[in-house]
Amino acid sequence: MPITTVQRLDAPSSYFEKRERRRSTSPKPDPLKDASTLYVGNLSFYTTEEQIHELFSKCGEIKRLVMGLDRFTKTPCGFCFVEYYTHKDTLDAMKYIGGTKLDERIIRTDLDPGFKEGRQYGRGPTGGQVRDYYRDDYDPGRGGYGGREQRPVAKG
Amino acid sequence: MGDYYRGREEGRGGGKGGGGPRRSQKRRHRDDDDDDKEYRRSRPYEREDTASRLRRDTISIAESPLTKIEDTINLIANTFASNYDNEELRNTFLNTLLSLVVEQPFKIPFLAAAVLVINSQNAEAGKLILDEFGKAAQAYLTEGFLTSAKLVLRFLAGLQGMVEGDGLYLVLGSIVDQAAGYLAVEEVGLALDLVWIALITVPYILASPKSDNSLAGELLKKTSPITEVKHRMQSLLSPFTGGYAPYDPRAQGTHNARILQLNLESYLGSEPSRPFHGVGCLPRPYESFLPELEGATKHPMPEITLPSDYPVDKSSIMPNIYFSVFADPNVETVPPPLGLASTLFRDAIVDTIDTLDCNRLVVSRFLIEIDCYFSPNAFIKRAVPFDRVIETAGPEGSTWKPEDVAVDAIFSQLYKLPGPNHKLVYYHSILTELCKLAPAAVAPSLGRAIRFMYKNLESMDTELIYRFVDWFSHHLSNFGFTWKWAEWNENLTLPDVHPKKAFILGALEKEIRLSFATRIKGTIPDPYKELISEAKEKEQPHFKYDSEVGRDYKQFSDSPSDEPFCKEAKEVLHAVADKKEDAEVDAILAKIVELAKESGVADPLFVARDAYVTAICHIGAKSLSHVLSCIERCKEKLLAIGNESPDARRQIVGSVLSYWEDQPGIGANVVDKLLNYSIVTPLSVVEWVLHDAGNKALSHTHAWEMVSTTINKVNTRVRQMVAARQVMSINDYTEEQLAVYVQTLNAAEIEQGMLLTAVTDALTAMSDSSDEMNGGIDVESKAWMQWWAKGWLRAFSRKFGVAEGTVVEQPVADGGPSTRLDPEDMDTM
Repeated sequence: MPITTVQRLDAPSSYFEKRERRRSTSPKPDPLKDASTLYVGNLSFYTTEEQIHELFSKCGEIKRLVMGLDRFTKTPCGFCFVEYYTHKDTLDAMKYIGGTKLDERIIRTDLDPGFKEGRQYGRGPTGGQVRDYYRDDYDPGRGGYGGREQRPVAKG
Repeated sequence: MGDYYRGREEGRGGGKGGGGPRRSQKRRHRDDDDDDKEYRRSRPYEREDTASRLRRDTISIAESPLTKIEDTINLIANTFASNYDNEELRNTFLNTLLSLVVEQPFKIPFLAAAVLVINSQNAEAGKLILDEFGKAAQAYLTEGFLTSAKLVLRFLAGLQGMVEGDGLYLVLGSIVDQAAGYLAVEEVGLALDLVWIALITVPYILASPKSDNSLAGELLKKTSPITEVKHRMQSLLSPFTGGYAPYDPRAQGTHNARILQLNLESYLGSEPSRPFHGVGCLPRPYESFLPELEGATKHPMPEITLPSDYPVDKSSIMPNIYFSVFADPNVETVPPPLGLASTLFRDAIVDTIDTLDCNRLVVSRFLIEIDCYFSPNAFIKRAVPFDRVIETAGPEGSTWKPEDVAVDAIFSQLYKLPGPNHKLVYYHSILTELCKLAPAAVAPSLGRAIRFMYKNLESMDTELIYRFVDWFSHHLSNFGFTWKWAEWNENLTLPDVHPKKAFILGALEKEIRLSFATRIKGTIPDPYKELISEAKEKEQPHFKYDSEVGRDYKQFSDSPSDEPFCKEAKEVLHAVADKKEDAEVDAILAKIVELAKESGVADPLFVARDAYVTAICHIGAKSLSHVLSCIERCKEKLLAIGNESPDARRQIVGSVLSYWEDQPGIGANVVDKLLNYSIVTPLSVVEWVLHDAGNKALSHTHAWEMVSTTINKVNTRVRQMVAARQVMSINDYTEEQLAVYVQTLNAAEIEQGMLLTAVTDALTAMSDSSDEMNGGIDVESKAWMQWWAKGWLRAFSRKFGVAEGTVVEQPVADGGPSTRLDPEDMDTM
């Protein structure tokens, strides 16, 4: 029975909703209705597939794990896709693992319509994720200062 | 506090994690991690209509100790009674009530009190609500949603004061009659569930303005013989084995329905010693309204017709057995099991946890604030340190710590046998959130729980030991891996197979799997550091054929060496790595076989297989993806090797685990993938662990995981196929298709039977004291190895017992399960 008096933690973020809206005006079937893939963010660059597997397999057997890579260096850049065999396992990971720690960092999960070739690469100007380009704090787990801060040319 | 329901305001706090100020002003760019929800938040309370406000007030009832409950009840009752003609508001309120009762059980007594007051102001409104809940109870019972039905009955129990005559007791009586009927046809699980539903409603009637002890007494007389019955699986469901009783032996291995029966009997039999004991622990929010309620209209009890049968999977209903992690003989921080308060707290908490699994943050908030939802005197105030409980409570006050009661209930679910209602990680996540929400209160409570479980490891069910290891390591990974390891120093001298030492080793192993060896080494005291070998800190395992010894072998081919055929094995490695044609690899393997024959190796094929599988492991050592793509690439050849013989398959498992000796978790993972490719079979995995993995294996967490994962896969498959078979109709499938399906199902069941036999035979032999294979092992270790074998046998008998129980019609298949385990026979372990 659907719960109506509290918020759910396995609802998708507005990321895909917004993308969809931007692209078309006609209503489409929900691409996340049976999603069995998770986007996992805020990983350390040093977190291994085995560590991710160890944590996420607590919600069910993992079908495929795709590490997010810097599109220039082909090294991990702090995100991944975890694909389960079932939609339920995916929702459970949203509910029970999203917002907990892996490798001592709070990780973020989001439902994903499914991995497509090319999406494993960072889309930021320096090859990593966009957020790491604009980040202005020092994060040793994600390559130190953000990409923009690291550029020799002064901002402005 | 208690503002979590305000949806957008708190939002998906768990998803966002870190909290705090998160966005710099200049940041306008969106990216992968950006879900933009902050921008979209509306102000929730602006221009809110009366219906929405009433809904909000109702949902948040009793949450804040700063608001007097009488005020909230008055507000709700007045708003509803005076807007009763507004149809939209009326429906909103009714729907809110109906949802709240089944979603947030803690609030039921408060909602019922509000409805009593509504009835005193507007009898028509009272009758409407009563009738709607009558319909809801009927619907939930008919559809087999027994927990929801129970909660609706609990709400009706609170309304007993506005109902004519015996009211709800009539319904409870018929439920008990039905239970007796199910008992007569051996449906013990459902019978006990129904009795539970009836009996757990009684205290709520007794706590309502109209209590009647004599009716309750009559009901108890009827339930007593039913609750005396034991379920056929019961002896295997007890969390502790043997004669050890870490708490009241009367609660040991006893199902909850029986405990509730005893508790109600003793409550009715004698005045409780403290006002907050027994039914006194429940809240009485209606008390200040008693004068108004006096003259309120009474209505006939809505008719609730019980369904002739419940559409539930009866064979899967297992009795719940009491479990607790707090049994301090000196300070009673949780109510004792043989006290009604214990049952009442546990029941309400477990339902809250079960129902609201979609939001662990909300659940954690409820559990931290549990003292808001019971009698104000029932708990000592939050976060009182353990050593100050007695002093703080005084001679009359309660010593029950709200944190302990909450933590206890979570563990009872985490350790529920045969399996928890949700995935284990859900309970992990609640405990993590509790610690984040109220570290000062919860962390010490968890610490005592951990020490209790650690102390009782020797009598704990084996499966629960592994659940303990799994939770403990995962929990520490969320809190910087800090634990006071030093207090277990003296146990480091125990043999590795002692349950306490095995726990320490297992926990460190699992911590490493979530982190990495060097990091974990930095979190433990010196004496523990030697438990983590240097080999574990290496990035990749050593390729055993890649050694100096190998070169020597080539020069002096008759000299003994650790790893013969190094040169050839390295050739295999390079050939596979360079993606050479199979023929080329085959040629090298053939050469190995030839050489092995020449040097008189007993099983020359063995050497070749090992070289090949080890090469694949080494090529794939970099990551799971690497090994998977390598397996995918070499699939045909691996399948061929596996098809050679059962021993060959077992050997593949062995080669993988031998390569990953220092990180067996990864090895177990690789084997699991090979199982999916059918390169190895479930039987090969199980047999390797039970016969080849060495006599310490049963104390290793990866060994447990390998066997239980494999067996669960097989059992789940059979279960799903049986379920699918039942809905397959002759209209949708041809006879041939059905025949093929049945054949596949039979094969799966035969496999299941073979596994059961293999597991039972091997473990029985290992637990047999006359086993002479363990030469050179000290007496103590040997005794513990037998202890593990007995524990595994108990756990897997349970797993298969469950699997068999769910197979409704067991088709007769040659070679099927030959030994049908009688769970009662396991009791002696």
